[in-house]
Amino acid sequence: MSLKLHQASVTLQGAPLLRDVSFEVQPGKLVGLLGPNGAGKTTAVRALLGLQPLTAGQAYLDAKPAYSLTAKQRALIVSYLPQARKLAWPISVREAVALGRFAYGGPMGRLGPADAAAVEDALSRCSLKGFEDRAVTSLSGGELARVHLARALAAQAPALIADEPTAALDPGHSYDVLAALQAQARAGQAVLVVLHDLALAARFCDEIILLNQGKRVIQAPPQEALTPPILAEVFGVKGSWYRDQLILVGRL
Amino acid sequence: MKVQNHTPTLILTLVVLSVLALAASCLIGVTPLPLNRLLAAFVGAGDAQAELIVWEIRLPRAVAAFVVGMALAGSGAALQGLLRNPLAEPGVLGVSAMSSLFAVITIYWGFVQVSPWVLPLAAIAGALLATGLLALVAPRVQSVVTLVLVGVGISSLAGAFMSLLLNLAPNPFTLSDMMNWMMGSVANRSLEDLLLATPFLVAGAIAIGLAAPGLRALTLGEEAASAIGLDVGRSRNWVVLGTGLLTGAAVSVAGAVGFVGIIAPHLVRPLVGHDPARTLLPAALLGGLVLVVADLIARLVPTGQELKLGVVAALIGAPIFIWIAVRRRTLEADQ
Repeated sequence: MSLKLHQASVTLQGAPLLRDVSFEVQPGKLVGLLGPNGAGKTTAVRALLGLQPLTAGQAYLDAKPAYSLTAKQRALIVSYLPQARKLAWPISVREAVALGRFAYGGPMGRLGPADAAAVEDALSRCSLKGFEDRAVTSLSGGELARVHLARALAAQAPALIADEPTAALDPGHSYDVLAALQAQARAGQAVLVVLHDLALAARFCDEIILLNQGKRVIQAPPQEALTPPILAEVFGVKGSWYRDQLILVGRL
Repeated sequence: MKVQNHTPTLILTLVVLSVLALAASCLIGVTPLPLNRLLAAFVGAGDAQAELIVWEIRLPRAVAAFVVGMALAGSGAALQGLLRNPLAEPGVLGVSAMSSLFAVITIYWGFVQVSPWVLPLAAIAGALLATGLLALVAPRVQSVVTLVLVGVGISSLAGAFMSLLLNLAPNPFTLSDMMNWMMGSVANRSLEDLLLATPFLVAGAIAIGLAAPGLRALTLGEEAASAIGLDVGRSRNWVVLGTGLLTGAAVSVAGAVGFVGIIAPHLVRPLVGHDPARTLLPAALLGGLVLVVADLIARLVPTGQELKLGVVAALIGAPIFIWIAVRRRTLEADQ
């Protein structure tokens, strides 16, 4: 079970968004997808999922070509958390999390006892006990991020992809989210997470995939991927490692 | 803020109230008849005059109002779920207007003489054209306000063609026939008219039913709905087909009746925990109930000419529409 992008290129209206990008996410690993704004992180994730047609190359989810999967088959392999959008209706927290089990539902969307158990488990792992009947629109940003994460966990798919799950979260809540993702990886899930915070990625991720201008720069453990020369070249920032912590000093 | 869910109780209450309203509608009318004669006619043991009034005039009319209300409110609830906007509704989005334009065209050129199926089919074709157009535009425009404006545009265009046809109407009979479809009315409907619309209503209801779980998933937005395993395109097609069939069939029975598709889902939503799938059935029942009551008002208000159902519905509905729109704006400003 792995997620694999092989020599993938995406060109949209003449603009190359992704150029010959290859990477692989193995089970048991928490992999951070990093890069400056416009580097093609979200495009790479959508290409990997088969949501963004490739102009060249292949995307494989569990060794199956991503484009050949139906939405339901894909959801059973990968639980994908897109960048958070507001929910349209003030439904309850429990129902929002239960939507993570949508792909397991029958034709009329009925869920069984196994689904209910998965929802309860996800609720408690994201510290949402006591919030079950609250309307999702009445939650704070941090609480809502936990609801989205719980929905992704409830799916219990072998892989998980999260696109900027820590956007708009304070440091404390960001740590909580990354710790939850790390626990998923330790439990055997293949986890890919798009991040903006380099120090956070360096602290939690097992591997870093670095994108710049649509190209893959490197895929390696954090200490090898985020070296001072690479940080300078890709992000234009000065940074250094102190023991196993990345410290960013400032703009170059 | 706790989320409430009283769906079973709500459905039961609405069914009981609807049956009561339908019964009242059969018993009350301009021709005063004693209750015992009417009740006898109800069970088939009455005199000829009472049976005629109950079975040929009042019951078809009441049932017509009920199914039209159900179809429009169900369509409204489904469109709101699909477009994630409480202001979406067949009337507001121009679906009813396009549908009644097509119906009026068949009257204007006398196509209705060819077969009784011509008018319902034309009305459905018009509705499907409008819903299809909206579904085509919807993914391109991110803003829901833009989409409502597109609907207003469709509505105005249909209205302009309608005025053109009225302007050029060859004789007063055609004119009054056409006016009926523009204003919306269930007066003088027969059971045959209803039977003609039934297959389309049933097919539309099935299509919406198939789309229901997808509407729940779409609460998360299209990308996330697809991520949890929903075929968004297929859901959209079911809703387009279902609302086209339901609105077209409703227009073929009663003409354009506005706003019921907005009021009923709006009132129901807080009682079913705001779930777009659970909103469908109670909204449809409430829509039916509202139109039966509105039709009763239209019949009983002592005016020289009988009020049209569509006029009564708009007089009640339009202010509520404005209220919802204003309140929604303040809600968004809060966030």
